[in-house]
Amino acid sequence: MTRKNNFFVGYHDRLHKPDRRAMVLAGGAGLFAAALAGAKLAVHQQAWGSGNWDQQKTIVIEGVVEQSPYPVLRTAVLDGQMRSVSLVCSSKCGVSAQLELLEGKSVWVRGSVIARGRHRLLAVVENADWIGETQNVQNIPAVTEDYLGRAALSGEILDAKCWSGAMRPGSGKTHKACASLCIRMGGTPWFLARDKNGKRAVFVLTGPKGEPLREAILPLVGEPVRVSGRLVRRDDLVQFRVDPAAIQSV
Amino acid sequence: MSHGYTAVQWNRFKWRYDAVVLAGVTFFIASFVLMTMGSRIEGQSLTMVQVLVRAFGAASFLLLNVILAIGPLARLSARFKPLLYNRRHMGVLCFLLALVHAGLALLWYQGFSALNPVVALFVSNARFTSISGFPFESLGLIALFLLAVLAVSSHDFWQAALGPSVWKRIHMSVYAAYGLLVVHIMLGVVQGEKAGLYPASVIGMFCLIAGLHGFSAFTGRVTDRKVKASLDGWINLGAPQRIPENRAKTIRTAKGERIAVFRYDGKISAVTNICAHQNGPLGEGRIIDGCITCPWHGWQYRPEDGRSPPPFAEKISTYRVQIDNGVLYVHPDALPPGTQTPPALIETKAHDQKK
Repeated sequence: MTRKNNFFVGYHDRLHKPDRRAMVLAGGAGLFAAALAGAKLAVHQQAWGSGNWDQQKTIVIEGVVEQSPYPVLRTAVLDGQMRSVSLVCSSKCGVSAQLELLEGKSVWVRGSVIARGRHRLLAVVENADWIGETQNVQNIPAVTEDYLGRAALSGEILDAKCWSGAMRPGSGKTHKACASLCIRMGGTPWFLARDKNGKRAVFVLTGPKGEPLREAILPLVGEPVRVSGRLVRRDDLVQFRVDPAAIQSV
Repeated sequence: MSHGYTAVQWNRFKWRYDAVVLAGVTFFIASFVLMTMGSRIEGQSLTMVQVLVRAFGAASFLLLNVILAIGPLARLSARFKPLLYNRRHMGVLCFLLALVHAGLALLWYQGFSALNPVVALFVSNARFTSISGFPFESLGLIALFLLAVLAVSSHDFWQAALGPSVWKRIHMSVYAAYGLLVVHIMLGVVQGEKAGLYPASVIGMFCLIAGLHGFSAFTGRVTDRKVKASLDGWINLGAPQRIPENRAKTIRTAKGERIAVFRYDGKISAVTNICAHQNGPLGEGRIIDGCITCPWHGWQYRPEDGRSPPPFAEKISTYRVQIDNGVLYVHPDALPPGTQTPPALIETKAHDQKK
């Protein structure tokens, strides 16, 4: 049969030889292309980011609770150095309400550590026995606060827990709605600043007087933004104090 | 053929077709997941859910591109026509992949809070006036809804219930879904990816699909010029021998209707060019077992009356034909579907008989 007379009818189940050859070739090429495309797209993905969160491994650490602007446990237990460990929920909620009665007191807290770079967070399991007063905490110095100066920074507002290891990616457009939801529900907003050379630094984002920010920043979470503000070191964390109305989308 | 008898007629070709498609999707997802997890740095928390969200989304979009490329490719070369069969299975698979992608993304990024995940998605980002902040997820949700409608209505039951033209119009919304997905990806994952491969792939595929459709439409238009009728209302088609045996010549009338004029067994018959199944181009089909056979899915009609052979019940419009002094004429007014019309007999010249 000549090529001209070939006519495939699916329910007849007859594929003429040239067509059969073409289909076999197309099928083989398709399978190869599918595997290659999957590998190529995977290899060229932007790095997912460092950070680690092992939810199965829970620890109990002791320290002093501070609720404002965002909950932290001031402790020297983790590595012998004085640290402000951010307290966050394992799911998307905040722990502030549960800490009101314990502000400034010595407590033990049970949770799993989220770590990225020098930053440490403790994800606590809600609806469980995760915090209690203790008398064992000693040698926690008073809070130190240093004014570092003014700064105009470009970067992105993100959720501390997501970026530090809970989510991949924990920043950028695909994570915008998630970060916004986390901060809305009580998560801690951080500011990831990037300079022209790609250098990055993370700051705790607060209002002009160091008060917590939430609703006012939600629309611009996860987007490239630029804002001026004051940098204040509070223990080992640096706060970026800004007027939320001055945050500009870039 | 008709929905009234066997809903899905499976044969070896169809099994193999679906097996290759499933294998292709599996290969893509497996290689994506393996390469991603393999490149993970030890000690970093990268969960499988997050990788699968991307893998299923990318697989669904790639499959949609393949689906949309098959139509114009089959118009440009008969070699690709076998790929038209089971294309709807690919469509259903494309929807299922998109559903897994959307479900996992919704659960992972909008779940685990006091809010309903769907409500959370819409309250979390309402920056519809911004490009950098646009809630691209909403576009994906609309596209998913369209793909769901297409997948559900792809069964022949719905085609028979809705009628071919309504069904066809509904299924043209695949292009709207495709457009929404292109923007969904460009305003979503591509905005966060620094490698040029991602935007280049999406734009390249979009251009390929648009180019194939444009080229196919252009070549179709070149061979599809309107034919004017003479004063007595008949269209002169010249010598009937110019139509290949068991094939058709397709013409377009002044009103824009397309007529497929078939030559077979020394006779000429004319029917509408539009198949009652999915509006396939009957003029690109051929006569098999005495019936006009659609090139898309093999639906058949008798050339003399435009009816499918028993026990099937489909009907298409027929047209009057005549041969006068060796010249073939077709009347451009369609007769009601299924109207018996006498074929024109081709006179065989004495010297042809000697041959």
